[in-house]
Amino acid sequence: MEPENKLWKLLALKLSGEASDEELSELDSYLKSFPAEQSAVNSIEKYWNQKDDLENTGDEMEEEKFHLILNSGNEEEKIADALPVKSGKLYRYKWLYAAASILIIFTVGFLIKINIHDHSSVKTGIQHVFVKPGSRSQVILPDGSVVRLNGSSSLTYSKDFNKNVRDVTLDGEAYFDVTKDPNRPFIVHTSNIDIKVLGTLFNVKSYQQDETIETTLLRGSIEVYNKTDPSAPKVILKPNEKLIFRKKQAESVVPQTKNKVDSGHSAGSNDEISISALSPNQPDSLKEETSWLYNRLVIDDDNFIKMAEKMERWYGVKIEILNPELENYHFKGIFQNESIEQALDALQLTARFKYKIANDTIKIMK
Amino acid sequence: MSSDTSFTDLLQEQLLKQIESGSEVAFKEVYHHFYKKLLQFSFILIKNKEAAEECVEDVFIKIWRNRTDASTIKNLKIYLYTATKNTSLNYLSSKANSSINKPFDAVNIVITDPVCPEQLLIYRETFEKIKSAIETLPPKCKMIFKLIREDGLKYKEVAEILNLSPHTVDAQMTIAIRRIAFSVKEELEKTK
Repeated sequence: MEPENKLWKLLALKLSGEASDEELSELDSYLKSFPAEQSAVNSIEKYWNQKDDLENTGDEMEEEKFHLILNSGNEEEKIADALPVKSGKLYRYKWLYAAASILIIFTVGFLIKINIHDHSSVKTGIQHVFVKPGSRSQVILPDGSVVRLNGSSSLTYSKDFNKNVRDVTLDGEAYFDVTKDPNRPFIVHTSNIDIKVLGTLFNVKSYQQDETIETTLLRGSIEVYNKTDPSAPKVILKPNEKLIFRKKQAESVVPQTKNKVDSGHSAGSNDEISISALSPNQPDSLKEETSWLYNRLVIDDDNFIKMAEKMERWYGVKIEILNPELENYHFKGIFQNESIEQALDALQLTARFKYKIANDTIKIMK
Repeated sequence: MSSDTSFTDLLQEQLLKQIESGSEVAFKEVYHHFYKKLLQFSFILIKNKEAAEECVEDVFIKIWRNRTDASTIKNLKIYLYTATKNTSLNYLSSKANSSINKPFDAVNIVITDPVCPEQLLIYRETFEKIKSAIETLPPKCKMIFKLIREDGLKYKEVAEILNLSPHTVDAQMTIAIRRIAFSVKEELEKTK
């Protein structure tokens, strides 16, 4: 091959990410012997490395199409040779009907009531995003990471975000899709723990008034640090694992091994941190940790207090339980498109209580 | 640097596993990552927007419908492009009822115009020159260039998808870069 041709071949390999180390250094030495080509090479590299708009997702049409595909893919019948475009509408409506159908299974039980107290300070910063109760929102950070915020949640990050470390502070629940950047770790600060990631998908639930902080890893890997005890070893989470941090029992931290059941027996330690595996066969839309992304509120064997809290955030209402006896009721179920009244009516089918709605406050009584 | 470094083989494997267990989030991620690219790819072949959309939809519907076998797919990227190519060519042959031997010879390949305001000012003329050099590449060469630069595919992947030898892809890429380089040098000579 002519030396000049070789130069372009090597440049093509480099741009395509196909070049070996040897080929890269060979390219360098070629450039030294052909200095006249340097500026052309620079221009081509600049052109090649431009970010295309193609990468941007979020096209409405694309999004709509996705549901169509999901739905068609869920049906058992065979595709009649390529979906005619005009029938698209029909498919879409079918999907809506399916989504609108109510899905509730409830059980009632009794258990010990849990007290909720703990307050942590909210840090201030330059950029502050707050999502009011009852709504959900999405934030795209300067580095391209996408954060979806659940109701009553706030996310704070400073103007220095993106410099050396990507720091954000969360109070509430959020789902993070972090852009990979090995040089600048992404750290989520919560009241009691810090979560360090390099590029991954995970959910964090850390409401000030909750007694636990939970983080669920869907993909990649994250490291969790205990802020109250810096000497405690970091905990590394694997995909489909969920870490629960109990704020009440502070002090010493001994990360429990995967088995949640045998925790709490080692000398002097408590189960401040526990890790459990998510059921691998459950779709994300039904997991409690990710269901909110699908507009589903999952109640998983929660007592009335915990459920009321979830409903307060979900519907943006205030719920007062006037009769303490009711607090021990346990519920299980999924809400999707119900109004708060429909939800309460459904609950009344399994538990005996009455409710009164005045403005944004709901009173629950026997 | 290819634009597709984020979508590693390992990640693809993980996503396929999640899709197999019914994860809509994983499926959605794959969908959003590839939808536009596959749409353009299909459009190049059949030059009909609606039909291209149908073809790409069919490819995704098929994956979702057969999700319980998703992890049998060895390489998701190659699978998607090959399935899109086959579906598109099937569409064409059912339409035209004639065999298509050289699908790239008669087609108009649209190269995405990257937008980058700051750089555009400085390099606008050079970039224009590069763009027109790409536009005038022979169809096969242009298709290969597009798949590698815009879709971030590897030589081996392009070879497999287009039924070529990796050597041909290498040679075509060299031709593309050399032609572009000549047009850039012409431009630089002019400004001297």
